[in-house]
Amino acid sequence: MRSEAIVKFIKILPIIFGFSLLLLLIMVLFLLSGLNPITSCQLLFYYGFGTTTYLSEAFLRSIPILFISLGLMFPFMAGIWNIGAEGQFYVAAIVSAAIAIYSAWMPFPIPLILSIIGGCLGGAVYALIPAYLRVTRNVNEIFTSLMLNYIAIYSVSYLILGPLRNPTTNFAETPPIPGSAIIPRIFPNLRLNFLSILAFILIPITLIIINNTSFGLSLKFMGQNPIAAEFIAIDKKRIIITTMFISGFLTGLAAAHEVLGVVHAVRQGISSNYGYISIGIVYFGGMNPIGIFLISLLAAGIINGTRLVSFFTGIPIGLSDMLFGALPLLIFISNKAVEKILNSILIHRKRWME
Amino acid sequence: MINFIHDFLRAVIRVSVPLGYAGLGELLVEKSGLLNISIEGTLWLSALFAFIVNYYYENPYYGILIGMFIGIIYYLLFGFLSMYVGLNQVLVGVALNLFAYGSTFYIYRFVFEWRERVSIPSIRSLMNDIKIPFLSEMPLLGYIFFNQPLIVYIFYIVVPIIFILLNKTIYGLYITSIGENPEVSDKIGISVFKYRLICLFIGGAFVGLGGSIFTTYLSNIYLDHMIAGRGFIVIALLILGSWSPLKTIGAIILYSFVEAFQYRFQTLFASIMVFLPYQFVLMLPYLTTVTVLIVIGRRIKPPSWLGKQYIRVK
Repeated sequence: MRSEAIVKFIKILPIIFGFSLLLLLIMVLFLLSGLNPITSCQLLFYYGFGTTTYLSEAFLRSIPILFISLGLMFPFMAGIWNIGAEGQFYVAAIVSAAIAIYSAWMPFPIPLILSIIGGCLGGAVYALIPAYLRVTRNVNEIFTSLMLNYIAIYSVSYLILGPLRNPTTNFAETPPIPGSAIIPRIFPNLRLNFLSILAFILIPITLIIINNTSFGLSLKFMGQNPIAAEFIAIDKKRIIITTMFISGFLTGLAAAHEVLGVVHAVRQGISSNYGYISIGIVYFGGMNPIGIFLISLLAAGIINGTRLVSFFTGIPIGLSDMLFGALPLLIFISNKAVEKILNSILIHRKRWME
Repeated sequence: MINFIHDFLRAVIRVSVPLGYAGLGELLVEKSGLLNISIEGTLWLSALFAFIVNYYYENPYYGILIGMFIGIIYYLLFGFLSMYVGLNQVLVGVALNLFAYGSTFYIYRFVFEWRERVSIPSIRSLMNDIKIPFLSEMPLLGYIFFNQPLIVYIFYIVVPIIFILLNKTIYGLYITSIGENPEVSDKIGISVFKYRLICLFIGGAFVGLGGSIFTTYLSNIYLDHMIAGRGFIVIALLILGSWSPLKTIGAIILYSFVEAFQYRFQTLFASIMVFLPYQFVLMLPYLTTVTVLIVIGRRIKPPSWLGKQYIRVK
């Protein structure tokens, strides 16, 4: 029992270490921009989690990240590099917006359901392209998903400046989502909506899939040792197709949540780099749904906090992107450092005992 | 009309040179088996730093130098994290890209006192065109090829050097063998880490140089999204050129035709541009690459260890 607790503590240690490094980096950045690092850090956490409204905003921002990272966890676990979440997000967003706009004449829940399903399938089908190429042509999925990202971003940019442009405003955006396709809010004064609940329901579901099914086991096996996986007849092709489908589907859900529940339109830069941030979050959360949930909530709070601090103190925004580039690197470095220190302690102790 | 074609072809060369430098740099790195996606972030950072230095010192060559320096630093950082710390190359690439997006946005506003300034800062000292005495008077080609800035002439020399280095010398063979199988290369006594670091150093210098051309020659202002995925375009064109220097340069020049066409003919053929929106031009290299991969995907072979991790077993 006691050794289990120690193992758990050792697992958390690099995360704590990494986060303190991140905090240090934030303070240095604040100092460089000419602010008082400690009070600005306090402000950051106040704007991130301080009141009910700010906390609900943090939850709201964490939900697309949570959806995408839970989806990405499956291909990453199997050693498949889907870096196309960004493109899948854009495709799903524009598909669900288009369905919502063109089916507005139907009574309330039908356009909503149609556009959520349409968005999910849009993301999933877009994720299947690299999977299909990997399976049939043995083309590296890193390249195809990277290329498809930009194809999606430019297609959406064309659509929102051309055929799907809002005729009444001057911005590059679609017309607002009609009321019959907007996801209703849970509380009237907070922006959380009913689709947000699904994200939290998904955490135990994915946990069970990964830990208690043969599918989860074969995923881990394929990720850990792809050569041995062939010997015990794991159907690699099926796994590639399924995991990419799941990841695209959940990315689609994230996009539908963002378009139908929060922004109520598709704009340029609607994804705010969620597709890329999530890649780091999956690793940072240790490929574990609960870890991913905690980290995405913390990340969302820090994003909101830095944005508001920058806004109120008049330093340029862009700090949060910088932090989320540095975050996975810091975590991994701290991971390695803790590993090395522990190893040296253990070796030392063994020698001493002998 | 002939003047028009002349100008157009000159623009093709001018657009292709930054991409060409970046392509050669990334080619060297990928040949040695490292898949560096952070080429995009490196271009962003080097363009910005070249702009800042050029703005304050009014000398484009200082800008180029600082751009190369930034490129080297960023590529070596990538090498440190992926080779010595042992992180996945794709993850490091994505993270470094995010860092570059955020930090360029921040640094640009921080350096140029974002709130007080009303006008966009612009550079007065771009690189000058240098006419080469006899060659530039050649009937057709002189004006196109030999009426360019210094950096273009260096490019003419660099391409054959890289070609010879990779295809005709023992070092090229070492680099290729490291990219194909570092384990075996290490066993027969090629120092994998040393050659990879050298590749990262030279490659980073080239990529940084390519990025700094955007703000020391092509444009006199800096925009947040001025690179707009050109790093990824370079990766796409490398795939199209199947990791061979001359084919890659060919692919880059073909792409530059489309881009230069889009710049030059936008006003002239406005009716065509309705059918050919600018997003389509930017999308074209990706579309072509994906199509080519779909059609002849089996025949395009990347270096076998591209993107895989190599840990030395003692």
